[in-house]
Amino acid sequence: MANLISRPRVRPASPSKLGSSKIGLAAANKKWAILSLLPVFGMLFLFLALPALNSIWLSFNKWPGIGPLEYVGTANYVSLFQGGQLADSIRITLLYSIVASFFIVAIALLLSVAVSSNLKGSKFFRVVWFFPGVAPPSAVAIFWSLGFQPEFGVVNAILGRLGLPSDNQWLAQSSTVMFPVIFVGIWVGVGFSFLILLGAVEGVDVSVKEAATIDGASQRQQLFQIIIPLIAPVMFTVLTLQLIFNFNGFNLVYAMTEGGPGRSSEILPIFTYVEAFRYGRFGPASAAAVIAGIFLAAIGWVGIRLSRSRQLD
Amino acid sequence: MTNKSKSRWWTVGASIPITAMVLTGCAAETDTTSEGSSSDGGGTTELTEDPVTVSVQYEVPEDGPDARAWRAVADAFEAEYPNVTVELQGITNEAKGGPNLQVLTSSEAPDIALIPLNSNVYTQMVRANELVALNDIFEEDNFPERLGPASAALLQADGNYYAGPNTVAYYNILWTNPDALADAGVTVPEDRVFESPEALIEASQKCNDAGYAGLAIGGSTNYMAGWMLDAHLPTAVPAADFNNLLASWKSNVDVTANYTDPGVVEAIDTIGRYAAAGIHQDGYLGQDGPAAEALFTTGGACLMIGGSWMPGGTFADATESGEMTFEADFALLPPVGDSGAPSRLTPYYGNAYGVPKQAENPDWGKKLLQYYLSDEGQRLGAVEVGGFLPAVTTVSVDDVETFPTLVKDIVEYVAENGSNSGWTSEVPGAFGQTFIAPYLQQLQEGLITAEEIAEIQQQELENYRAQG
Repeated sequence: MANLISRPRVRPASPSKLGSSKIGLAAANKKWAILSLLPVFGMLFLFLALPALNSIWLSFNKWPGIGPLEYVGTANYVSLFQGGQLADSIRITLLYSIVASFFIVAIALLLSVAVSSNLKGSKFFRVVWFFPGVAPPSAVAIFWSLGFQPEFGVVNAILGRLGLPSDNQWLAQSSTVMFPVIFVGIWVGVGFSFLILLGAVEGVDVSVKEAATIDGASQRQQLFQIIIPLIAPVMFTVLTLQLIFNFNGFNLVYAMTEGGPGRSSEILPIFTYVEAFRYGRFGPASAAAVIAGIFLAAIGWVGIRLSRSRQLD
Repeated sequence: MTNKSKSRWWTVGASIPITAMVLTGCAAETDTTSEGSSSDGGGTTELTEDPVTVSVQYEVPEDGPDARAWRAVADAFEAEYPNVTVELQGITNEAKGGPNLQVLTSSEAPDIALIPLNSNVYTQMVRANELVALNDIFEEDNFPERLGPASAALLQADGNYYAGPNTVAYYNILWTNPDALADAGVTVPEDRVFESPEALIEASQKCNDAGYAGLAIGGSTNYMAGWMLDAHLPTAVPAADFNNLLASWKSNVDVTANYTDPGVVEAIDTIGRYAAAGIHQDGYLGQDGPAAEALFTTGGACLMIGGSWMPGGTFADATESGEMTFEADFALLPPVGDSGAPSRLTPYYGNAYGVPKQAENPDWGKKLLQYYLSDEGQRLGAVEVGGFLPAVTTVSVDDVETFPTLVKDIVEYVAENGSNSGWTSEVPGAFGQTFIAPYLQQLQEGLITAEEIAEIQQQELENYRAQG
């Protein structure tokens, strides 16, 4: 009987065969992985790499928006750098994106700490602070353009009430136009950063905060020595995103100033637009776009490095 | 073959069809220009009786006068040709002078395109031979003669007409608030023309003293600073020089006048002098046209720079809403120097229509455009429904009761005194209006001198001519 019901002999696989079947499985998985990723790669190539490559190629050509391209080598880059306006636009763009992004993250951090501490009305502010971020940029621009008008604008009215100079022509002077633009950029951007940072702040272990409180750490000490170090990777990510958003902040700035007065608020995206669609110089416009792309890549790279280094810490 | 190299092959293999698809798409797109329509050179073709949709661009808003005018013309046309359906496509003021170029040269091009004559779109489409010649319909209806002297600017170097305007607008009109001027003790000269820039500055300062803004202007708008230059330039240089300035951007025209000539510099400088004297409202460089209009219609300014489209639009709306409680009148900017023409209003024929070669139904497009530019179409669309001045001189607005009296007065004034061509209306925007506007704003801020702008413009003339 014992023989009749003997269990089929299963010979344990030799280590070498086991290895080859694993490799076979891995290879099959890899094929499927590649196959399933192909559409994504195709889309990325079609909608990201190809336009980018086309833009780079266009930057070495002369093209008025119609007809054949005329290869001009690096002439577009040379003319842009010799012209001076590109340098001004880069300066204005960096000023706008760096200052606005810094304040956005700083304000968003303070708000998220305040709201997460369950102060009275924190639920209300949790919602309210996000509103400016979802409003259409053009509507925000019109709203604040009126607010910054010298005679009937709300900003000068408030300054007047506070006993400060109230005859400021904010949007009408090259020397002051970037103040309202940056202010509105901050106003719009805080909501998005606030939401992300609020999540990060609320993710900090309560026991850590309680331990700090028991140890006698003040609110300020808790903020700078516990919360900020713990959420630093998220902060750097948010800062990087804000720098990129503001660097590309065409809608808001164009709707507020069209890059003026003169060309004093002409950030790089506006410069690119003006070169392409107003002057019909698509070659220099593409060169400016390539330069902007290099800046954005650098910002992204630094942001990712900082975020990763903090995560490792 | 290793797994790594296998996966590389997969990637490369997948890329090939995608690349091929893209390249095929590109090739198809670039090949479309070669097949012109049957109406390339102007010979009329037989229009079919098959159902057809003719697409037409108009300037938004959707309930604006442009849309209303086109709808009326389209309804009449559809009644005449029952197989035709006219589809209106709105475009913005911003798009018509720039991004529209991509639409007009694509397979989605409308059958009738809105192409401002002083825009880069028009310049490039003519250069690339992307517009259908309209010679046949123009000759059939004697359009150039009916249009008058303005037709000369429409005729291209190759002897073809590629676009026709449906209306004329007069701009550089100094709209006056008689009540405010009286309050400020300012009298507008009998001939309506301020004697000199100093006289205008003095009048504006009196207005300021009486609590009004002087000359309201939409300073942030990129074309308004150029308007004043249009008014001053023909008065500051001899007629021959001015005509050369209008045409010398074309490489086949000899340059006989320079932008650095004293008259041109003085015309530019006057704009800076106005600004330095504070004749405009506070913060004007941060305000657009509608902001200046609101200040004027609510009685806050003595004067406002504008055009003949305002009485039937802005003024009528503001009067109806009770904001505007006075009856506006008009005056003219002063002449600059005495070597040129007298100060006159400036006509704008710029919002013209053409038929792109990429259009699906170019022959029907021409037919519909021909109807709009006919006397019947002009009267119906432009005058009676749109409230515009007709482009042609053969249609009168005198007997049209709905037409604002103030506009009729302007037409009468122009008939008696003539008009001066506008530099920014006639030279391509990329060389003229769009190019100089930021510099004029800098001049108004005192950041650049008129001499420097003249040098920059002269340099740009050389650059532009070098492009052919």
